[in-house]
Amino acid sequence: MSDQSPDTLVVQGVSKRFGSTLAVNDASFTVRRGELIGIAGHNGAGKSTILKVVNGTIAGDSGTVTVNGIARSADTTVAHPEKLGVRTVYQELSLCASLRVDETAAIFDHSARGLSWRSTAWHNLRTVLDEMFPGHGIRKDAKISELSIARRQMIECASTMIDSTVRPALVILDEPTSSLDAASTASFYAYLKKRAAEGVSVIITTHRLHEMIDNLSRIYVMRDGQVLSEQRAEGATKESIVTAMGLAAHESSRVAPIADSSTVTTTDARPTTASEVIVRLEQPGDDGASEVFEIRKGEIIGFAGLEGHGQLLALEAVYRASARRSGAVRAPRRTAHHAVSVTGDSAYVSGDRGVRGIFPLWDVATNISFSSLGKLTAGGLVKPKAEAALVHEWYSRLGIKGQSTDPITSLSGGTQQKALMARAMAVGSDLLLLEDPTRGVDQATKSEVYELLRGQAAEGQTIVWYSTENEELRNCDRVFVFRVGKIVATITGADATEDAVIALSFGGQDVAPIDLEGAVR
Amino acid sequence: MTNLETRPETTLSAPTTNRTAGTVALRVLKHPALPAFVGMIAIWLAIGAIAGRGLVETISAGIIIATFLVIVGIGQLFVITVGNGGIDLSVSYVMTLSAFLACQIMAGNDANIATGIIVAVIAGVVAGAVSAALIEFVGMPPLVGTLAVGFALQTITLIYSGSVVGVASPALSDFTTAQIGPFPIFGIVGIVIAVAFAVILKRTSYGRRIEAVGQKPVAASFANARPALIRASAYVLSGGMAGLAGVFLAAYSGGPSLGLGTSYQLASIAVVVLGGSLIAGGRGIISGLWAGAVLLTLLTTLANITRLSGGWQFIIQGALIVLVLALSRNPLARR
Repeated sequence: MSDQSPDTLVVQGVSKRFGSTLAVNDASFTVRRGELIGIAGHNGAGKSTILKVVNGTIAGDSGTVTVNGIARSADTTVAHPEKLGVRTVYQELSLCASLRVDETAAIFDHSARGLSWRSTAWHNLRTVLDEMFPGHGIRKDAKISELSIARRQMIECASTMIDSTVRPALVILDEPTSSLDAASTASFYAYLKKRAAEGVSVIITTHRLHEMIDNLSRIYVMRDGQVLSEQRAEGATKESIVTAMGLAAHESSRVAPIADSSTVTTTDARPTTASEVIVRLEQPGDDGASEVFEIRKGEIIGFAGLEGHGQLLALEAVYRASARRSGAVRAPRRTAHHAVSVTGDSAYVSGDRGVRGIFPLWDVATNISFSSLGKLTAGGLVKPKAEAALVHEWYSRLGIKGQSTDPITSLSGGTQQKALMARAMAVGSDLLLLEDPTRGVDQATKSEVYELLRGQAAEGQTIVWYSTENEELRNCDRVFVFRVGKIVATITGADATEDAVIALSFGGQDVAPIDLEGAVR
Repeated sequence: MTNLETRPETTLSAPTTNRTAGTVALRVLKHPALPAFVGMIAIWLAIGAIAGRGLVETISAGIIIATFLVIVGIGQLFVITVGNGGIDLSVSYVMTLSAFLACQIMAGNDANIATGIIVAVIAGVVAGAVSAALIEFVGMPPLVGTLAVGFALQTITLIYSGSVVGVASPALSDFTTAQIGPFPIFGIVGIVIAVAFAVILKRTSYGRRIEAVGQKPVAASFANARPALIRASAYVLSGGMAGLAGVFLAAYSGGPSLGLGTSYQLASIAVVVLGGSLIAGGRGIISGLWAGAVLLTLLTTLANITRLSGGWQFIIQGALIVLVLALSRNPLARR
């Protein structure tokens, strides 16, 4: 065994072609023992592909991959990478929906065998979970399908660190934090650093560049399938990475949002603008009287707080309470914490695209037009020309690349997300509801999306936006902060700094998340 | 609306369709209905070669008999395509009951054709609605719910048929066997029905919802579709189609009988799968279903000509389905 080699992973000259696309072009990089490195790049830059060649799930066309001193040609696949100590969390989560949490743990944990396999597996997983995500609130008998995407992500991340029969040597995390809130993300990186000190090497891809800069030692930047440059994290800035990724001015000139409506900061915020009320959220206040939160036409409202504190539940309630036709009203909808009434119709974009978003058997065009078929129909039949025109319009608006007749599953994760944005925006509904819509989307596209959303709001569309990325909330006019199911504060978008949101989320108390989310089927 | 400044590298490729001979050939080769059509033609030619019967008469008779299977199969296809493990096991019992009901009403009189057909379809629709309620609101698995309804219908038919002597209207009977030149009218009606439902499935928002719910019910529910309602509608449709097929089959075979629908219970599922639709739902191929129905019908003809026993016929049918499924694996699993 060449266990003493200083490099856990050496990748040399790996290329991979998919049809006419050169997804990875002569890529080389190295990960030393106990090192945390990042791979940055735009959607479709080849990050996910190179990582799949490294762990052996797909065969490359050329090059070599050396793991723990054991070299292999990149054109071979590996049936059991975990036996080499290589563990992976994919961007599209891959847990089995109908298993319980402890059963899921046993899949990753080969030491959990025999009669008490469930409890052994759960014990091993919980040891990691408790340290990686304190207060995670995951129960061993919960079914995976009942968990929110953030909790599923937590389980996947934690399972890579279990000391099964083969200890983890190289852990590959493709967008591990894309659904995690700030507090979970911080404890996650703290745990990674601890394990790195014990000799575990980690590769992370994320579009949250500041996370890379703050927590990793080196960052490789990929563009068009090539590994273009290597930066030390200390000394790197968001701008330097973005420049290397190939889009300079576009991104860094981003300024704070328009905060043109109200600047009220009390918990009982009533915007002074006279426009029509679209959403009304009512919750019982501390003194028994009910508190009312109104969202007016053309506003962009953010739902913030720690993961699992009722934002998602409230957002879903708004969706379920909305009418089928523009301007219509339906009966109010009650949740455990709110009574929600909505005027008008709505369209929903989920960042959990695998479960709540794409239709995997269809091409991109059919995926995009699906929610707008009503206005594309004449005499009961969908008009092909109108459908093609709508798809074409949104292809150019969102800058979606490729053929609209390609299967949606052939697109990179971020591009799929753009297609889902297009599907919802094409409806032209009164309300646009966003559930972490930019999950796995690169910075440049995010900026475009923000701009597009502001344009939609200016046209009178009301936007409610649940985000786990506090930085995004600057784009909102007002932000509702949730704690234990209830709205505890509203702040203006300009005041919605990361620190302010976190402070309000904790509210000085020790709060455990409530078990609410992801229950909708 | 604010238009985004399009970045220079964002080369937009509009939905262009290059209809060169090569791409058309590729599309045909990749089409999921191809195995059914190839099999259909192979068996057709085999019959011609073995029995020396005229090819035109063979296919003409085959298409007539296949039409009953096409009509039930379309309902079954909608149920399977809408997903959630959907399979309608009640179709055979609906067919039998509808056949008895319609023949009692028609009572050999041409004036009652419309009433008979309408009652038969309504009986099927009601049965389908009950299945849908059991599955979507009581929460039974589709196999159990539709089988329960099927058994109930079977019992009703047994009790009720004892007191009934029904005869189909002669005009309807003639309609199922009439020909214009070499073309069987009923076979052409079957093709027209298949084309109409193919258009419904692929080119209406209802059809798109059927496929969407079959792929990802949660995603569909977040895109303004109501999965429970869409699924329920598929069972209602399937019941109605089975009712319609029941009347025609009774008219064709001279009157209702207790075993009228029996062979259609599994054959209706087989043709869906043979035609390239996904058994897990999300993709329905009606052209393939039509070819699959003709294929199965001709296969029976071939078996009869070669004097194969009934047992062998079933073995060949089963082997054929296994072969087609093995050839066209789930495209999701392939990636």
